[in-house]
Amino acid sequence: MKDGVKKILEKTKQGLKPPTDEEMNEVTGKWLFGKNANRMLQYAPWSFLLLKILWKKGEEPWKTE
Amino acid sequence: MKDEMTRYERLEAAWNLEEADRVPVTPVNCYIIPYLGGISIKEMFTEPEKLIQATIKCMDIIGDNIDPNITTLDHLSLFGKSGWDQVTLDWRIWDQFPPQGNIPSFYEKPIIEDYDDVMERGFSTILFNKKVKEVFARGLDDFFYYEFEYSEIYAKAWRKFVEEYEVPLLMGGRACHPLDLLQYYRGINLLTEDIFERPKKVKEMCEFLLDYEMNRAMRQAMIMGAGEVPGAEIVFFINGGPPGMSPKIFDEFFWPYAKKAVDTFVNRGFKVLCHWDNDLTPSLDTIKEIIKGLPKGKVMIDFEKTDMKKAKEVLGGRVCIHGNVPSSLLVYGTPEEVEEYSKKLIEDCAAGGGYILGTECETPWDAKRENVRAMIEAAIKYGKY
Repeated sequence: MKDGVKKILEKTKQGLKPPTDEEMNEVTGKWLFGKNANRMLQYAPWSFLLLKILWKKGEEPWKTE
Repeated sequence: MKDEMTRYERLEAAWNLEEADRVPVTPVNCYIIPYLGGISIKEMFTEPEKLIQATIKCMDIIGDNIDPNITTLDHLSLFGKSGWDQVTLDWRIWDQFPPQGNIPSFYEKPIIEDYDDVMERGFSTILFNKKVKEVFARGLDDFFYYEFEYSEIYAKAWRKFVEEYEVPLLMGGRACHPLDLLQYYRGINLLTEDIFERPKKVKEMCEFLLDYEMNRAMRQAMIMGAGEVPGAEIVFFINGGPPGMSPKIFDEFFWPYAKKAVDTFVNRGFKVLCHWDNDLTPSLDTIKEIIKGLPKGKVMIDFEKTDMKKAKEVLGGRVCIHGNVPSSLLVYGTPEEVEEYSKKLIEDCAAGGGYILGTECETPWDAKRENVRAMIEAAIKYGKY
């Protein structure tokens, strides 16, 4: 890799502030569970049990047809 | 005449609104690579080594960067990603090119029936609902592999290519404007109706979608090697929402979320390549505010149908612009016609730097190879500073 390219990359790397795991969990939780996100995250991994409350009657994914 | 620059330095100069050794040229080569490289669309998506080999066979039509087709990662995920996932949206991955198959195309069907319900309960009820049969056709192994492991394998393959061939990536992460996502989730007709009949809900939903979309794209760019792999620091920020938006609709429904996303990406150290389709000439006065409050050299706008001469007049000295040799010309025209069109674009846009010669949305999969080559040669022939 040429020196000019290395310099640009170094400068870029110094300026990067990527999302933290905590931020990712928060936004993904909100996207996946809406207003229930905080509760889901608070009780993870047990929160999968809480999934059930998110579905309306008749649309449960585990219900056999 | 200036010393010859590397591809990455040449592009960096354009981002910074400076004159490089010549005008950079970056046809957005996506499906044309597997087509000319002799692999199927399914192989393109699931076997990165084959995609890399196909790319190597097409080096004559690669300009100053390469599209790593981040849509692959979005397509194969099971969490919704950037409007391309197979779960919430119907973008089919075909085995073959036309006429036996097709390139991934959107098959419109309303996914969201009730905005309030999604904001209340999230997308989990859509993703894991039995109405979406695709989820249940895929096993747990498949989920773990494509959601959490495949992106690392994919990134590693591209990193090796970039190091070996010194061709920067077009992007590292990819995000859709929320209005664009709503177009996918609701369909163009229903979204248009919503904009007029439920404007408040459309705006609330745009806010709801934005955080996830932005963070996911930045995470994707990090996996692709932002700060280590040239070009991986770029977030490809897509589209202009429903076609034919009036300036009033653009200003009210598109612009606030576009500006918020661009600000966030740049303030977190990423570059933003705004890939905005449609003819946005009537909205250029709004778009010129895109760099307000931001450092120089971090934003580029890739226009599809916008008048490039006018774009240069309004945006020149503010933001780098990219475009827009017509797709129709690349498929049906001659190399001479492509050369002439490219020359005119360079004459209209290159002065003072801040211009990259490019395709419209992307190079059509069935574009003539000699036409794409003519575009690259035009930049070398007419683009010297």
